[in-house]
Amino acid sequence: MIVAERKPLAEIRGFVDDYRRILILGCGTCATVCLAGGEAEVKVVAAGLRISFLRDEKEVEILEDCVTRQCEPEFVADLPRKVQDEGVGAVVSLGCGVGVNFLAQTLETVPVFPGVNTEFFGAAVEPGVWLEMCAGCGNCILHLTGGICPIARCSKSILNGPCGGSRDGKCEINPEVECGWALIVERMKKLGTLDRLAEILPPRDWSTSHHGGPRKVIHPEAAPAAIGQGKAEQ
Amino acid sequence: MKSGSNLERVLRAGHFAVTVEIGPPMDCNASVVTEKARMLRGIADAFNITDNQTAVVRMSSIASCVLIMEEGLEPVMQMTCRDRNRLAIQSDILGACALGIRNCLCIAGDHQSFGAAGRLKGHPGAKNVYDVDSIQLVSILEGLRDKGCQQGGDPVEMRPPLLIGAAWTPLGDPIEIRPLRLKKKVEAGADFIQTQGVYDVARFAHQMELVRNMGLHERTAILAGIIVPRSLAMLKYMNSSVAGVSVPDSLMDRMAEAKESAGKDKKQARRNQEEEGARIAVELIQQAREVPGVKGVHIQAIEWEGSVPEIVDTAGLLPRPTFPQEGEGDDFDGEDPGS
Amino acid sequence: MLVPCVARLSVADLLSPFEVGADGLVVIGCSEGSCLYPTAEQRVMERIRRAKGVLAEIGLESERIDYWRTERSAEASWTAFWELSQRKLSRIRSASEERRR
Repeated sequence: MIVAERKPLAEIRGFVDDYRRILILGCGTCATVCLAGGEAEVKVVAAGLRISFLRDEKEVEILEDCVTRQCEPEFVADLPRKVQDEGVGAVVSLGCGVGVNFLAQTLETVPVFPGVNTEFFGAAVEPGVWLEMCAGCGNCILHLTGGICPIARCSKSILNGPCGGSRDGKCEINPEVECGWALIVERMKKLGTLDRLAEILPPRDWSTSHHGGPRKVIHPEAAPAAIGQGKAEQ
Repeated sequence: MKSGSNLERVLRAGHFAVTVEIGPPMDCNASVVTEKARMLRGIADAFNITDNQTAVVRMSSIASCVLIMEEGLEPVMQMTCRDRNRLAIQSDILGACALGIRNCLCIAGDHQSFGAAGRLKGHPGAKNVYDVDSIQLVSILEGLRDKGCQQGGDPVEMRPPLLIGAAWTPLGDPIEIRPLRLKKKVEAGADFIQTQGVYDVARFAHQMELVRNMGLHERTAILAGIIVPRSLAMLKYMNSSVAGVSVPDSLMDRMAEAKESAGKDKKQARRNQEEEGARIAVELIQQAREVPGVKGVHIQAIEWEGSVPEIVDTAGLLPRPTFPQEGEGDDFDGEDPGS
Repeated sequence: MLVPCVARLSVADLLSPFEVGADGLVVIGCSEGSCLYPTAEQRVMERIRRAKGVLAEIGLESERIDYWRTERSAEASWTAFWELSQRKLSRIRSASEERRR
């Protein structure tokens, strides 16, 4: 899932300093699961902002809401009307960056500010701890590396690792960081496929990743109307 | 001959090769490079010019190579994957060859978070490239030279004559993958290998035995890395913080003794450690030379290049072999010192 | 304010007094180790730590929240704790005015 962390309240306060009715909008999916922007965090951010404005003797109204997903039209369809009816001057989204983008285009004239920093695609390896495991590069090579991703988990994203900086299973950049290639070697030893690493992986085609420009996926059955556009056309 | 470089001639003739590292300055002062070149002239077969070593901005390797060539030294241009994508790498290689550079060492490069291991600010906020890795870089160079083909498939009319080098960390973790990774570098096209600094010669010899069993020592020229230790603190730092470097206690004890024997005289302690460090370097060269399959040494005296001439001399590696001018054929009339 | 168990308080609950203008908050819990539920104390302590963090983020002194324990009933301890808390808050106030000057 997408992992995010709440921004410092002072930073959020800076975004909304000039507004008098502010909606704090949580997201019930990834941001909730990673404890960054669900209902509970909406309450905390709202409380923090109220206290902060109160101290400065500013009369500001903070509204709270949380939608199931900020990244799909049906869950935010009511939002433009609600924002207009309630006279909301600004929205702080506690969804990931996708949510902020989507709301910004949905709300057109009302500013949407990010309340979290969107970090990565990761797994909850233990309660409260998330680890980056996928870089979303658009052409999965996990079948070659024992299911452990060298793009996401090696600091240099090298395909023929490990580099000389691997030490006791840790990366040269920081002893807290696992060496992705040490994990790959360990895993492939267990699978009995270590010999497959003898093959030289050639320079890869990064055009499937963000390096090839913003990407679009069209599912032919789910999006019949979109057929004839973009990828499906080729 | 693949490149016609002096280093290639030395290796082909079966001499025990010597390469020495030169670190360019952090400014545009050409005289720093030329002075180092003058100090080191004649004591090695080729001189590595580092490429933003330890992720610190320095004068470019390509420009520094040209500066030392003007002083009559042969450069080994280092090229990291950290700072350039495949377009920049290939155009720099073509440019380097046009300028007369004949050796290139392909390395991944330290991660940009390093900044001289925290001694300098560096650029930890930089974006790294790693479009290709060091093994892929070797194969790109091999493609340009032997297949006349850019990585993308376009033809190269005049092929760059390069001796292709790669680095190897024989004692890096996970240790069992290291011989295999060397094999990949050899298969990608590495003509020579410069290893990470070796202090634990026994463990290095064991890795070399595995490498010999794979026949890799016949397919590439392995030069053992010698990092001249300058102080006890430096040895301790390398042992604890530099991946793939382990320093045996016996060397640590010798350095500690050299330091302590000076009592409270700090200047004397420094002199003692430098003398002991130079002695250790000489011994390491001699021990590495005894390891079957080792074809030479690559000496690094970080910001202490002045120590190298005496070390090379004491190790019995002078004078260096010389050859007739380029283009006069492959015969050599060089002497092979000490063999 | 009486709650059946302070371990039920969320971070937002702990902040709510400040939202209506309180200068400080004292959470009065049972004596150490006396709780029936093994992790309840750690959990409320952690939430108090996070609430203090929120205050610090908006420039308020985190010492404005306290967790005190009582051997007796909470009501019986109120007077003593009230006085203690007032003394502490006046110290915080004067220190903060000092800083502003």
